[in-house]
Amino acid sequence: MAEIEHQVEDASAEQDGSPGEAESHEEQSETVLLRGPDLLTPEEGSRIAAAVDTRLAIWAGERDSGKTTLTAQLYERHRTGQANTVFAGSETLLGFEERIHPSRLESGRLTPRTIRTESDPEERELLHLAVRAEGDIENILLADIPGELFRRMRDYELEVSDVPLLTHADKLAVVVDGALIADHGLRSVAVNFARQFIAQLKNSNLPAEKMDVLLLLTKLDLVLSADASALSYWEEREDSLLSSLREFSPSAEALRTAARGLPSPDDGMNALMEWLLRPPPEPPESDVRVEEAPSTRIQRIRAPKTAP
Amino acid sequence: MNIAFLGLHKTGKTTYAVGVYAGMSNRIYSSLELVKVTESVATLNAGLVRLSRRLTVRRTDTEETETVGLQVRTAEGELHELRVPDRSGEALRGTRNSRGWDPDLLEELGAADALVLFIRPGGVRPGEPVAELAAIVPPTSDAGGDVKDEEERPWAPAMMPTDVSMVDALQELSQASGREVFPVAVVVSAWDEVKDLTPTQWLHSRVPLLAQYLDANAHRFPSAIFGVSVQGSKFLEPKDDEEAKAMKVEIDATEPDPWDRATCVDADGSEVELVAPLVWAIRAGG
Repeated sequence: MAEIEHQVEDASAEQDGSPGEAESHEEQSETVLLRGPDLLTPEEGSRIAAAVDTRLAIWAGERDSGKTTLTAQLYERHRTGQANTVFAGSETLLGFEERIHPSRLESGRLTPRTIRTESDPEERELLHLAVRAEGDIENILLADIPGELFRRMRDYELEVSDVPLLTHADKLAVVVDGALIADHGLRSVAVNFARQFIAQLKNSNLPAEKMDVLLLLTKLDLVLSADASALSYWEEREDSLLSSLREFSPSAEALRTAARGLPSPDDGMNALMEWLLRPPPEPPESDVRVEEAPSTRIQRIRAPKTAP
Repeated sequence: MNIAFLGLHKTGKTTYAVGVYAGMSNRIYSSLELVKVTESVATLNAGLVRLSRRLTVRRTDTEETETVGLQVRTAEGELHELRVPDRSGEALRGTRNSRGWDPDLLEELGAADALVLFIRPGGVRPGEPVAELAAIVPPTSDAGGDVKDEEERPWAPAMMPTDVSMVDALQELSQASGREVFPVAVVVSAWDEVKDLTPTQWLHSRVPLLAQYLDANAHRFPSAIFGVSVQGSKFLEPKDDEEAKAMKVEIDATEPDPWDRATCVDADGSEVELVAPLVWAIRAGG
């Protein structure tokens, strides 16, 4: 990151002064830039991972299933003093701020909204959050991957291996949209889509033994505020989906979250952070590699591993 | 020793400098003694005239930066040459909003041995969540429902809450300067406006992200927190010197001298000398 931030660039596009106020070209060329709201590329994420112990987490869910809200609220709960961990920094501070903005009064809105994640041509898909838990600083990279990619995987238009980040995830959560579970007409579709995605995982070459895997119901508040059938419907399907997911990763767990609204001890967000901070499984001995140079690790996250 | 004052517009940086200089000139502190003045203090003396008349000390954005140069002696007898640039908060605001460092500000901060970071309680942007409003005014009420997405105010760095702006400044300063350790004395100014909280409690409740960031990064940003009140109450706010001169202000015969009016408390709320943040910065940065 350092060389990226310190690169000497013409910052005139960032200045809000009129042309008459513009500095000379020579002065502009010396402007030291600050980080903007851009997310990190895999290369930039890898530089962090090469420097400090870092977990890469991926929410695998379809469009509007609440993935970005989860990510933004994990940050915002530190800012509102509601988290059980201590905020220790972020390489994407403004990225979080931009994502949380439609949930703040400053946006002019009366109801919160989260910006929709679209594909980034530069593959800027990673948010960084450092937190202190039990005395140690832990670094998490949260992938903000468009839901469209997961829709295409579920429809067999894409292979799981076509998304390199998935191969390198330490934490993988299969997200089920609680808003769909609360809807009589769509709940079966949500369950079916999750089952299809889990099937894709089971057929993939993803290194499940090196990942923590989670079945995650989002928007629990909508499920609880719907009629009583919504929760009982989910309870029955959750067991079944979890059994299926455990065929991919035997240690898979289930969790329910309500990221939006006034925080409560039962909203699952602190439990989600605890899951993120838990050390991922140790890779099997045969897979332990000699310490790699940072440049090699950059390539590992960016591109799928080649077959041995 | 270079000490930099860091804070957005109207956070009390100059007022604090005026109060401290006036107190040291009158030799009221036991922890820091003024030995001699090494650079012009014209701005501070002009500020003292205003404080005496119960008018706010407010430097304009266009004023040149004036560096205060003082030789001081600590209670332990150590002599220090202090250089404290008095810079408008506009430079930090411009840096934050344009995402390009003001070169003079960066040079000044990079050369600092310690920072004094100013926050004014009345100027804090809390960044409230919509949920808090929605709990009071349901969007389906007569308010007419929510705004359309296209009517939403687009995000800009200027909208960042105060705690995020301060964390942003510290993170970026750390990165741009390459410094590994940066002592930070946090001064919550206009402390008389805060009731029933210690400075530590205030920091954790009103600017929690900054409080957490400093806690978690104590090795990089060793810090101390103070509550400072130089005025002691609200003063009239002339917009410029001309208006200040024209203002007729009745000053009571019992009005204390400005340096006696100023107060400072430490992190736990115990009274300390007004120079305590500077003394801490001198020790931490030395």
